[in-house]
Amino acid sequence: MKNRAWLFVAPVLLLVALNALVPIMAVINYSLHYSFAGSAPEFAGLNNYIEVFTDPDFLGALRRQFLFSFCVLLVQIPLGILIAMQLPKSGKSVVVCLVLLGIPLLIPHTVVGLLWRIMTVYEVGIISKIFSYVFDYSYRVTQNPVDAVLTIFFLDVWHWTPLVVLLSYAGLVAIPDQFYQAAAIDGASAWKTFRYVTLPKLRAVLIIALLLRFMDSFMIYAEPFIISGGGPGNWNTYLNQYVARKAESYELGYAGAASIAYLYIVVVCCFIFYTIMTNLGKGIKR
Amino acid sequence: MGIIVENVTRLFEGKAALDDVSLEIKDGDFCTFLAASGHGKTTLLRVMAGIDKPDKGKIYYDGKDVTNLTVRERNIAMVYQHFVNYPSMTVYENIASPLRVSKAKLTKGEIDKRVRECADLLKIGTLLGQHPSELSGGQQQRLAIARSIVKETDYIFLDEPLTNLDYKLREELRLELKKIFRRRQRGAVIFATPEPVDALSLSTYVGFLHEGRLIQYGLADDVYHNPCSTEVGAYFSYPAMNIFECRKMTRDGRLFFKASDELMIDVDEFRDLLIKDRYLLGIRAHGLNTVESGVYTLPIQATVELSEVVGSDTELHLHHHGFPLIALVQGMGTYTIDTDITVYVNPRRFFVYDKDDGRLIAKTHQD
Repeated sequence: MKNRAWLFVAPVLLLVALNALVPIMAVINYSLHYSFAGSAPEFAGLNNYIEVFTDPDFLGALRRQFLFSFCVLLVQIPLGILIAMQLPKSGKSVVVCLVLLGIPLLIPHTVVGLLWRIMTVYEVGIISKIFSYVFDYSYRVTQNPVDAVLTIFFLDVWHWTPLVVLLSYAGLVAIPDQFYQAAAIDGASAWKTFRYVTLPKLRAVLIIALLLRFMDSFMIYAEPFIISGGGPGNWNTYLNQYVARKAESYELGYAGAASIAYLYIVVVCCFIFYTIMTNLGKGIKR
Repeated sequence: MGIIVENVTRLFEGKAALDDVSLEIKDGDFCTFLAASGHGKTTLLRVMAGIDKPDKGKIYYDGKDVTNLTVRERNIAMVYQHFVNYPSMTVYENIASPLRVSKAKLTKGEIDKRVRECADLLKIGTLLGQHPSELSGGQQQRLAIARSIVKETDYIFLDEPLTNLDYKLREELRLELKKIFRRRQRGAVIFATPEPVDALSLSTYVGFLHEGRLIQYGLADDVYHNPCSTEVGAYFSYPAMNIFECRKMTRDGRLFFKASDELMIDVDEFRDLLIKDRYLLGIRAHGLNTVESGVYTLPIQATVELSEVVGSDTELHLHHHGFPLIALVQGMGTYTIDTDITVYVNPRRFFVYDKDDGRLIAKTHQD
């Protein structure tokens, strides 16, 4: 009875369907219709998608989003590895270090946003004060785009670098000491040892770190929303907030198309990262 | 010329992992350190290679004190139990890597020639374009060995290189190691292994370590034929040496050791040495046989507890008057468990050990 197997899988399939497939299909359905509050939806074909990809606001948000994720990864991954390499390998201090590093990870996005909002309030928050006293610079998150963007950037680095540290650390302690001894015996420099021992051995965890951090940073929402409402102007409006804003204004068809485009972009990017990372350093087979 | 280790002690968490070890290795030697795991052989190799510093004592290479030189400053190579290669480099690059960073600048052609020679010697010449992760365990270890011999180093340290390989590969690679290192002109090879067979078949010198102390060090044959204590005797035998207690007694004016009513060994020639009342007797498993022939002249009754075929021999686990005995008998015999059989002992194959400190007092034969 080969078919009986389906019976056992059915509950899971049902759960996955309700959990993922149905909502996605609903969104796809929305994306193919013009939909306004109060009136019956009208089939639109791919018009919503065309509108999305020609909308300068969407493209602007997408550009900012890529730039943000790129910068965040560029700093967090190397910084995370660097910090992980400085941590002690054994002893009681390991626990202390890991717990201290883990604290930011336990704070919810909204709370982090609020904390940083309080710290950056003009002339009151500690960051704002430090800037005005030490650098004689008036730091205004709500008015100066550079201040706003950098605030979100450093907030994210502070919040999420520990994740990269923890993952890298787990990878680092798993590298047998003999590999470093072998490099020392060969007379390899510190950089060469890092390049040819540490980095290749960390590849598996770095793939995970990179994918997690990319997906997560690409979906940033709460922090810029709380700190400056995505402003000043559109400077801190990233994709997630942009789509949400459209949905909130009952442009469901447009928001649906934007959501599907968003999902597609994330999946494609992850696939590209994954392919590159798994083949990196494998070389061409002769 | 060679390595001198002088009163080296290395502490690990307050305990001595190496306890006052002194020895000398001459150029051209293949020196094996034999010990069960956790008795200090890896520590000794690491200290000799310069990966760890001794807490006490000195190390000399060619008469020069190198105790405080780091491993980078010494001209050595090492192969580990784990297969240690650079994961992102090809086999070719892996073998070339020690040459690329070495002080003697080599041309591309020279490097290429050396890499290919080494790869062919280790039979991995056809795998040069692959990555270590694509190789089998045996090939990975061959690669690690190729990396260790490509650079002309004075000393090569092999830390249990065969342990992680399965039986067949181990036998194969052991033979090749012998061939490869016999060709070497300079320096010495220092090898750590838990296997008595490796020690016997590969080395010119053998050192036996027990709880961080070097119990015995000398020519391989000499250590095998004159194991200076019960620990060496028991470990450096395959199967383990039979060691049992016996009492001194006199019969017809001659001095005997009595282990049981049947097992009586004539030790009259050592009369002057044997001042205590009780001693330990040791006999290797091939000193016992199931047929009476030639040197196997002393019959005893024993119960078969277990019989297992090892290669083309049979290992018999026996019970005789309250103590266990192991006999290694030629051929694949069938024995029924729990039956009594007659075993013939070679009375001229015994080692006499002190009962209190396990030291070798005498042996009933000359080699």
